Amino acid sequence: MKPDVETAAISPSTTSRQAGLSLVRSTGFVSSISAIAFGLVFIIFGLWLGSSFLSVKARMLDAHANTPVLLVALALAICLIAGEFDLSVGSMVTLTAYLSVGLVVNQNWPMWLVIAASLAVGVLGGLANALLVVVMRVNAFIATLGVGGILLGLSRVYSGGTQLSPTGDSPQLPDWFSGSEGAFGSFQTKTPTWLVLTTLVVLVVAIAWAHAGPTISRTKRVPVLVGLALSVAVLIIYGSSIPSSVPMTVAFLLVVTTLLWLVLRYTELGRYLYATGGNTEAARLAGVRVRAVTTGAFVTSGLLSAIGGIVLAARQGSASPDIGVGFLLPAFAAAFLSIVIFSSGRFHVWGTVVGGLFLIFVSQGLIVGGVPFTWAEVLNGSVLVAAVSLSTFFKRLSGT
Amino acid sequence: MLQVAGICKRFGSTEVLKGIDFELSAGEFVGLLGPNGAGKSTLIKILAGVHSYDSGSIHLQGEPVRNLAATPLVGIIHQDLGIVDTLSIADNLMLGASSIDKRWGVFLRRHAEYEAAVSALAAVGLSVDPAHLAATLSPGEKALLAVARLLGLGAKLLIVDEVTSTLPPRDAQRLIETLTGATEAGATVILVSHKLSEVLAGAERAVVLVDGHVAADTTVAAGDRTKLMKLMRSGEAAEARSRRPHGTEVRARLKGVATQDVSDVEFDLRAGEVVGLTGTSGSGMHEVALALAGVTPVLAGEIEIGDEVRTALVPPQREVHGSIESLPMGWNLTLSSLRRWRRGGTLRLHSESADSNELCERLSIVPPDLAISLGKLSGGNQQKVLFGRALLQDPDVAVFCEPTRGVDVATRAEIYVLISSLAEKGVGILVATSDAEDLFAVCDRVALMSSGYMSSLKEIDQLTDQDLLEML
Repeated sequence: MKPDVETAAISPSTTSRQAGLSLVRSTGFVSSISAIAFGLVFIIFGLWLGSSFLSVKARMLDAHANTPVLLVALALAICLIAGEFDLSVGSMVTLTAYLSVGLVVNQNWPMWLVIAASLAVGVLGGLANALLVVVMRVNAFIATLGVGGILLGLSRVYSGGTQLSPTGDSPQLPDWFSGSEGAFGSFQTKTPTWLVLTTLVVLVVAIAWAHAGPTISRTKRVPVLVGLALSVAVLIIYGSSIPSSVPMTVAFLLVVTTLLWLVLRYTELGRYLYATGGNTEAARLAGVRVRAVTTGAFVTSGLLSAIGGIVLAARQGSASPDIGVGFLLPAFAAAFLSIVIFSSGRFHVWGTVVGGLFLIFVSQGLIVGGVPFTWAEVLNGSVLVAAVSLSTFFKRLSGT
Repeated sequence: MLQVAGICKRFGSTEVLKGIDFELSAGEFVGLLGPNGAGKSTLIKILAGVHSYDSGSIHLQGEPVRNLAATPLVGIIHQDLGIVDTLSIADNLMLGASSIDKRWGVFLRRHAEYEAAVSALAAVGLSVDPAHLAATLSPGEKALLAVARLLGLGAKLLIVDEVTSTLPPRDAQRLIETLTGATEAGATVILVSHKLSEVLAGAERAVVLVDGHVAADTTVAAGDRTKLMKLMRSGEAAEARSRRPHGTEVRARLKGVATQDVSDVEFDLRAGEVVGLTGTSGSGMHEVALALAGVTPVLAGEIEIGDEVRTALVPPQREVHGSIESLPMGWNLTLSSLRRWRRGGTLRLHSESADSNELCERLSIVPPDLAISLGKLSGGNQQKVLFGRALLQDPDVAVFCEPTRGVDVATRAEIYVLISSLAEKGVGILVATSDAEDLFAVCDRVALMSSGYMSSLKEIDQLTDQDLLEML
């Protein structure tokens, strides 16, 4: 028999030591810590480096430069939510970046067809992963590692292993896609200010509405308040320069994240993804079509990675052999940080984006402060390990 | 040999053991009996050193000990048997035996081990090649291997914890015979079981736990059997069962149904009645249940069930098949019926949680916090959540496997009331349980499953003593 020991641990404690413990145990405390840590990074680096760190333009540039990595992190988050691994994402980025540039430069395809083809490759890669994992029941770790090897190899075959960029007499990437101001991939192309402001207002209202209902527990109010206070503080410090300095790529990332969040939160599919990841057999017996759900997760992951590759091509205007290889580690770190951020104890798309930005800002802060950029991987690795350890530790504390 | 006195244990506000006393002399074969939730497994976990205890004492061969974990004199076999499938049988025998002398202090003497293994296996009546992988053994043979290993390690007291409940009857019988043989060779055995028939087959004495205390400590001589049978049906939860006038409308008809481990199952499930299947967990009763719920493929025969008939399932093993412990309790509750709250492609979360809160209150789930991870709830409350999941599906046919497994006495009563009220509303219910108390509490007609075959259904009050003996 299983006694009510857990229930007893949750009931209000009387002694102060127990009260302290239950504070640590409450998920609200954990997420507040992560919110505070995020704020602390800005304060510490701000004090240390002054305006060179607190510049909106510099941080936006970070976000712009890392949009493809963050898209890959979202791809991983979707897979991890469904309880699977996808190690093929980095290679998918490399392959689709090559295709996005090469099909124009070498094959002279129209851009819309190139984008469609790249997305199709993303879907096919996801289907290949799903075929191996869902149908043939190969361990996802091995299957996606192998598929990733194939994708990376194909990109080498296609490119001959060299860098690929438009030359003087080859067809050029369209101006709206890549290039100087006005192109999607350019940092100079800002999202219209009115659009940013409207979106901000809509988001705040949506968040307030989502959390006003009976779904919010007492423990969640703390992080919501802390988050709101932080955003207000940031807005006051930065003044009005944010709404006018959001690059197209970052806005695009936020749109993708919002869409994923809406699907995860407000559709049956989202619930089924979480249920499949939580306990596949239980989900199956509860009537969830777990194989279809897992397949969907892999396909989404492939699609998001392909989008990452396209955005990367737009940003760089070229593709090179090792372009997406280093994406896996920071993307994993961002996805795992989402467990700690926002207290949910689950993988989460907003947490992934915020966690990814946190990582990027910390490593940029260190680089600006004089640490050689070669240390970035050390930092990413440490954060991944620390995030996983922390979330495991807090889960144990809270008795799950 | 073993003396247990005044063991008390409480978890939070629940007093699970209320002063357990019993003694065991060397060479005895004692059955430790009791319905689910009586405190058997808590007691065993205390003896094994998994749980601490609040008061009381344990003496082993006259010496006071905190628990029995540290001594090689005591061997405990749990349900999972502790056999490593991917090692050879001989290597399994050697697990935990560190004192074998090694060549140059490093290399194992494989030949000597092999011969030692053959004789150790012969002692428990196993004639298999020790070089084969343990995975090649049947569950019953693995249990015997576990016995052989403990005897080889020098165990004088064997505690066999609910092992028989997962074995096919023939294997269980073979295990009990082997244990009897071991007592003749001087070992002492405690067989923990909730099946009276198993204990009667081997033990000389039975200790019955009911609701945290020793309700009987008696020999199993013929005169005491009736008393034991009464005790095992204790609680007389039959009060929860009102005599329901059930309809004649057939909700589901099983015709010669066969699945992987079951053949030729035939019965009708009528509206408003509760059909009970009992047997060991290896008997196939859960497969029949899962097939009726539509989650296990039917290989032969047919389950006639209307297209618009909604089925709901509470699966046999909560931790493995039911609970999604990392997700919020509310999500677990509504997982099978999300369609209810879908409007134009999206979920109405506010109305979902309003309905869930109402259900939590009705089932008195504690704590009634939808956002809390299911894993933080007690076993009983998790079980209520799974019942809630089934209720939300508004079923016409409900399949409940082990409905009261690992729940406390109070929850057990609530679940019985719940099942009865569902039946009164006209739901056809199948209960597949290894706990006889469930049968007497809620079922109208019952049948025994054994090795994949099902006996014919009998009205619960027309069971003969022989039927009872097989089922208890």
